[in-house]
Parts: sequence; structure tokens; C-alpha cells
Amino acid sequence: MGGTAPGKRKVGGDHKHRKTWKQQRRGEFQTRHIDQVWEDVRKPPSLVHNGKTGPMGTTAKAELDEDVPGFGKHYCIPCGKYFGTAVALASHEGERPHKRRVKMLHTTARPHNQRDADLAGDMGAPDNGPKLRTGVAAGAAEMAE
Amino acid sequence: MRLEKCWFCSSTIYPGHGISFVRNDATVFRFCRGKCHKNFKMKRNPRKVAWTKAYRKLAGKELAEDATFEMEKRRNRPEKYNRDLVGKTIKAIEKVTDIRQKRQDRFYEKRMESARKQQLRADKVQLEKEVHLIKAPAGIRAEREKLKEPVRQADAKRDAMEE
Repeated sequence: MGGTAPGKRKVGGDHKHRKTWKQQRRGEFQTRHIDQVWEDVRKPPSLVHNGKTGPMGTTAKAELDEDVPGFGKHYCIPCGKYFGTAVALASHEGERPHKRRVKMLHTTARPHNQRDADLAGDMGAPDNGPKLRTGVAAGAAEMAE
Repeated sequence: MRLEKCWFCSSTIYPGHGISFVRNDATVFRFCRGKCHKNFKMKRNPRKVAWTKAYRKLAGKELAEDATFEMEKRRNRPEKYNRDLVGKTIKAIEKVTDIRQKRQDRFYEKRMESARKQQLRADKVQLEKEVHLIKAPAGIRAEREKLKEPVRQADAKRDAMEE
């Protein structure tokens, strides 16, 4: 964690749990949003997390990410959390908040997105006009039709 | 220039207003004002926040499906400038907005119909209960006595006739 004052403990944390501005912003940008998690849960788990790197957005992550607990090896997909050890992850998966989250993710509808916002704002479905057909492949497709 | 809809409340975002947040996966979230942005950061679900359009449509408070909504669409391909088209579009926008507004008003009126009757009933009850706030009880009693006079006289007459 960056931004500690000289003489301050890095481990354990300040009892007032203060974060620097940089830490706060990083936290904002790196948390996985509910709509991403909703999709993650519906993909095969190997696509989301392969035990080496995390799904943190789509930026390519190095193996053994130092900034994340447990080097990114033990990740709970529905909760979007990293754990230090496999045991920690396993014990988390038996806990009530995790189970509740799994149930919620599987039963609720697709989360709100820009398309929903547009429809609620009295717009129709997007219309990008007639498809532009160019090139040989497209010409062949037209012939087939 | 394009008029966007706020991700949270679905209101129109005019140029120079609001904040756009671009996420790691390149999805853009546009907010019309700080209120919506803050609610987003709090991870609130717009479908559950009562003042958003998303909530209102889902809860049936507003007209949700209508042909006029199909008139306003997003197009991600640029249109070649055509003076006639621009003129026609502007006129169409005015007309469609007018029709849409009328339909929304009609929807509201229909929704509030039963509410008006309930309000009238509630007002009557309140009047009965709380008229003492306007007039003194002695004055009310006196008025009631006066009103009963013609009724008493009519009753007395009827009794006399029956006898």
C-alpha cells in the first residue's frame, strides 16, 4: 500500500482506517462492478480466473500480482474478493454472505445498464440504419440469400 | 454534439453538464449531475431508487410502452447532412414530443382517478374531525341547532297530520 507516513505501520492498518486519495481512487477503479460480476458468474470459471491472474477489468495482469492478497491465486468470483490462502477461500465459500450473494446473482435480472437507462428515458432500441455490405464476403452472402 | 441520457436517472445530459466515468473495460457511464454520480459510487441500484425513471417505469408510475418512444433512437453512424431532412426532423421532433406529452398526461390522469375520490373522502372526514380548529365548538353547536329547527318543525307537522 502506498502513501504511508514515515514511522507508520504498513501492516495491520491505522485504527481509523484512513486511506490516501490514491488508495481511494485505485479502490474505485479496481473493484469489479455488479454488472461485470453478474456476467462473470455465468461464464465458465476458467475464463474468469485461472488461478494465476485476476479479472480486474480487462487490463492484462501479470502473473503473481503483488498488489493483491495471495498474489491473485485465490479469487472468489461471485464476491470479487482475493484471499491469502486456498483455506481462506474455502472457508469463505461456506459462509452465509457468500451463499447469499451467489443466490442473488443467479436469481436477479441483468443489472441496470446504459441501454436500460435509454429505454427508461423514453428512447427506443438503437437503430444504426441498414447494414452496409461491402467486400467479396458480403457479396457472396448476398448471392447466397 | 449529442444529447445523452444519464446512466442513473435517465434525464438528458446537455453539453457542459455532468461527469463521464470510463471503466477499465471501456464502458462509459454518464451522469447528469453529482447526485447521480454519488449514488452510482454508493453502488445503488437505479431500479430501486424511487426518483429515477428506471424505477418509475418498472413500478408502473409512468407510461412505459408507447409508439412515440420508437421515434427517438440512437444511431452510431453519422448521417450525411441534408437540409430537407434536418427541417423535417425538427418538425417531427416537435410533433412527437407534443403527442408523447399528451399521452403521458393522460396516463397520469388515469392513474390518479381513484386517488382523487379517496382524497375527497379523506377531506370530508378531516373536516368532520377537525372543524374545531376553524370554529369554536360553541359556535358549531349553535349552527347545528339552527339547522335542526326546520327539520324539527317538519317532523312536528307530520306527527300532527298523522294524528
